[in-house]
Amino acid sequence: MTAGLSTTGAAASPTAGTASAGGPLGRAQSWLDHEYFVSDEQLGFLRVLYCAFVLFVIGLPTFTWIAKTPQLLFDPPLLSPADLLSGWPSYGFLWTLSFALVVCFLLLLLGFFVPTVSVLTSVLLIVGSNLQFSFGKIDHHILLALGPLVMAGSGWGNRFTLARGRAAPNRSGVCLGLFAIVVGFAMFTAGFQKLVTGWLDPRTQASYGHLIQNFYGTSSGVLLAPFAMHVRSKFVWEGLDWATVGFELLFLAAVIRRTWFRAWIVLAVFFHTGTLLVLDIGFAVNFSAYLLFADWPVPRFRLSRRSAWLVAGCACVVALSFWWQTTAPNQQVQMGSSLAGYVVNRAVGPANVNGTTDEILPDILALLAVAGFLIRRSRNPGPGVMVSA
Amino acid sequence: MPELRTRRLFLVGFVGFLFAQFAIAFWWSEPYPAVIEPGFLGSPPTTGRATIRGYRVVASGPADSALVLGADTFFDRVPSSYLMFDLPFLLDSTPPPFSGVLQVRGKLLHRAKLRSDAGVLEFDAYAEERLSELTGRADWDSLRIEETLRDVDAERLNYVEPPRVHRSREFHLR
Repeated sequence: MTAGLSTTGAAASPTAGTASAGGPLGRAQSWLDHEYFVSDEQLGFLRVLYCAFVLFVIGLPTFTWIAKTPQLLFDPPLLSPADLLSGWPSYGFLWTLSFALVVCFLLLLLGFFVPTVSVLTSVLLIVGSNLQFSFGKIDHHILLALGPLVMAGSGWGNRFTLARGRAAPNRSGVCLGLFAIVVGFAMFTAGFQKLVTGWLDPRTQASYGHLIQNFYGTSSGVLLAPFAMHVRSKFVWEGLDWATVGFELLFLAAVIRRTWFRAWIVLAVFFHTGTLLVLDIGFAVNFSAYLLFADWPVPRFRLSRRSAWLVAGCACVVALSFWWQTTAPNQQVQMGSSLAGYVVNRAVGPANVNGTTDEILPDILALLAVAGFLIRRSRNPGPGVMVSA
Repeated sequence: MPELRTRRLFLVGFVGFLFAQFAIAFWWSEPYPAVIEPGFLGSPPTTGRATIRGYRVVASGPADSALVLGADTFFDRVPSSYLMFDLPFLLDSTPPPFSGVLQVRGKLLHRAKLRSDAGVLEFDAYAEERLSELTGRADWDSLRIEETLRDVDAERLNYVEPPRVHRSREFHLR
């Protein structure tokens, strides 16, 4: 895709070098701009990476499978729009919802109507998630749903776009900063619940207790769980309890400085990979939020407009093909399917233990990205590199 | 300064939303995870016996024939982790209606349960079709969904005894 069809943002933050505006609001904006501002190029590339990661690595959620389940299981959250319904919506509605979602992500990827489509994407994800969570369980997809909404006004559609629209002002500092607060707050609430419900009680080891529950209950002991079950040291498990609570609580404090926040994201990648391998709880969906805070090397090559359209067309065909496959009438439960999942499933085949092996791929990619950033950091310890001081 | 007013409104709304979210998470969490998930309101036991909750489906047919299936085999179109939260709701009896005006939550719970149970007839047809798919037989008389509890020795890491039925709900199919 062509980079830089239009530009308005400067390379430096809009409030850099100027006297900060008066009042708490002005100071807050100045702080967010100072910490989280990125250039138009970086911002546009973040949008492309975000969409490509969701479409091709973790897979977009689809909702058509809900229509095949009995009405007796309809138990929507009490404070939600789904509570106004009398049962599951029709297959046609869920199909349209899922199709609209994949179309929105493709428009976002290609850079068409970015502010509007960003908001619409979040609305569709929230509506779909609300229906999906009407089985009583609430998953942890909220960061995926909120990402486009918070970034809608950032100007992330200014670069790496096929559209020839008017560029929006670069508000990356405020938008990325607010999203950092959302991410930090989400982790803080998780830690707070653990703090007040006895995770730090030295008489019990909550992590180990959850491992036992998962091993004999829902996950049947996949991946590294059988090995972890042999670790009987109370110090190790109690240490993990404290580390987990501390890590989640301090995520909110880490928002204050972008460098701290990035360091916490590196820890989060290890943390989520650990919970997947030991407890079989996957959080790859959170990586879509984390990747917005990394300093990715922006590609310098330029594609001709024709080549860019060709690449875009291929991306659309692949994304729509996988979407179509997940909505086929004879499909079993498919909450999302992606190119990466397909490749892993084909490569691993029957060895895909409990259907979780393909879930590891996003974690492996995230670990590789972290390793890459850390190597860059060690070679070039200047500003603008992941976890740089 | 409409721009400033909008931004101020947005910031206040944003902070208010976070506070509301926190209040709901802290004081008004949904009841099921708190009740059924050991560790949600306290650490799960790591010494002595740990009780593992499970669900199964028992179908009865003519001449005392019976079929026992894991709930995730029967409800193959629902993710198994979702079943762990939904089946307790399915097995619950309907809460009594609340008379107080301020008991909004009780009213909503009562209404939610009545609404769900209105799907029993549809579920009977679903169950007949599903059992027919699984067994090739269409003569099953009834289906019972059972919640089982099974103890694990946390030190020896083995099951102590067979699962025992904690509660169940029966559906007559024909």
